Amino acid sequence: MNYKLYLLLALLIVSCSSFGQGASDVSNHIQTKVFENYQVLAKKRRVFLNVQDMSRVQKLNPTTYIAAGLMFLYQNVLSEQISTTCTYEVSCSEYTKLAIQKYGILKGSLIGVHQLSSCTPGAKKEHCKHVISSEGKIKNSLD
Amino acid sequence: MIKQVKLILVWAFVLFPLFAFSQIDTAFVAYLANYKMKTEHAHYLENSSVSAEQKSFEKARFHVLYEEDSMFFVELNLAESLVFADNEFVSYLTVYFLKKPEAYRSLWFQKLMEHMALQSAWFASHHLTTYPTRDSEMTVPEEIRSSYHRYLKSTQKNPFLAATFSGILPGIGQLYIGKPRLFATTFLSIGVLGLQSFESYRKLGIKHPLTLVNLGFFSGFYLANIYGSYRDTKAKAKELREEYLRDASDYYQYTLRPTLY
Repeated sequence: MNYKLYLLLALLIVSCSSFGQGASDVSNHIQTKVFENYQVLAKKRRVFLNVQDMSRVQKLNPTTYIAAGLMFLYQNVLSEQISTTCTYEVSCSEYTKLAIQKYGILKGSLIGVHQLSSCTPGAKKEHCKHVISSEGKIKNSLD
Repeated sequence: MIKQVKLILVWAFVLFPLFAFSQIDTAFVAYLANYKMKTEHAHYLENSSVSAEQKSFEKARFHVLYEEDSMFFVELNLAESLVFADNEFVSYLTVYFLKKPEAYRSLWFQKLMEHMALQSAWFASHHLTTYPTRDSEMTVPEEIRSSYHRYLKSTQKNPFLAATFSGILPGIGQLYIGKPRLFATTFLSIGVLGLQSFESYRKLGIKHPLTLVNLGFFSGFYLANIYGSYRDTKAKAKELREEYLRDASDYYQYTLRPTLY
């Protein structure tokens, strides 16, 4: 009697394991579609400083590295914890970093702080339509 | 005599296919362009047995169609006379480059000036923005005059004056260039920082670290606002110039309706 029961159980397991379906493409697709909104986005790659673009004085100035390092630290540690988004296409911290890289610590910091003080939702209304990107952000470039 | 006629006829038969089949099939090219068959289009132009100048002319049109501006200028240099002989194409290009980045736009208008000396008023729309004057406002079509007027007004704002205003009272520079919202936020934020600094100075004294931090923030934002007003004045004029040129491009596109193919 026991022998028959074991045989039946073995057959059941074999049939389940052999005919049981794995994760097909369809189910994978459904899963990705369902959980699309809950996916964690890949971490944005940040560059510390492009030293090649800097002048010799800037390269030797330690304050440039301190200021850019603070921005880098903010971008990688603090910014990710705050769920706010910048009004500008190039975020305030990235813009400050680029400005420091291009104009040096003094002028670059002033440009960065000014962008920070003008980073409000109402700022969009004071710009022309062509300056607003399709994502609804203000296009800003250092030129 | 008959022998000579026969000879001419034989030569005519020999040369006819060479002339007949060594031209670009415009209807076919238009078809390729309408259906955006880029690879086929490029292949057809590359293998067509026309003169190098004619080929460059067709390639120039191809690059404009696919918005490959730097490549267009390469081909333009090779087929300049053919491009400027085609008025329809020149009209299309002028309307097209009014909306493009400044580097390409100025390059095109420089070429246009060399060939046509900006005779037509609509060709002059770019020239008007280079030397804006009150008199030139009347030459601008009525439909886009308000846009030009706003640009003209922005050019009359002095960046140094805006910076001075911001130095006197934070945010006034922004109000001067026509950004009332920015004035409100700047005035409030710098005002709060100033009050905070004053309060900590009054209660804790100038040597206290908190007072120094507050003063640092206040002076940083205050100075940034002065310099920012200077930059904003220039940026605003540039932005309104771009806006006017875009409006001009749309207006001429609508009124002249130039076509590429």
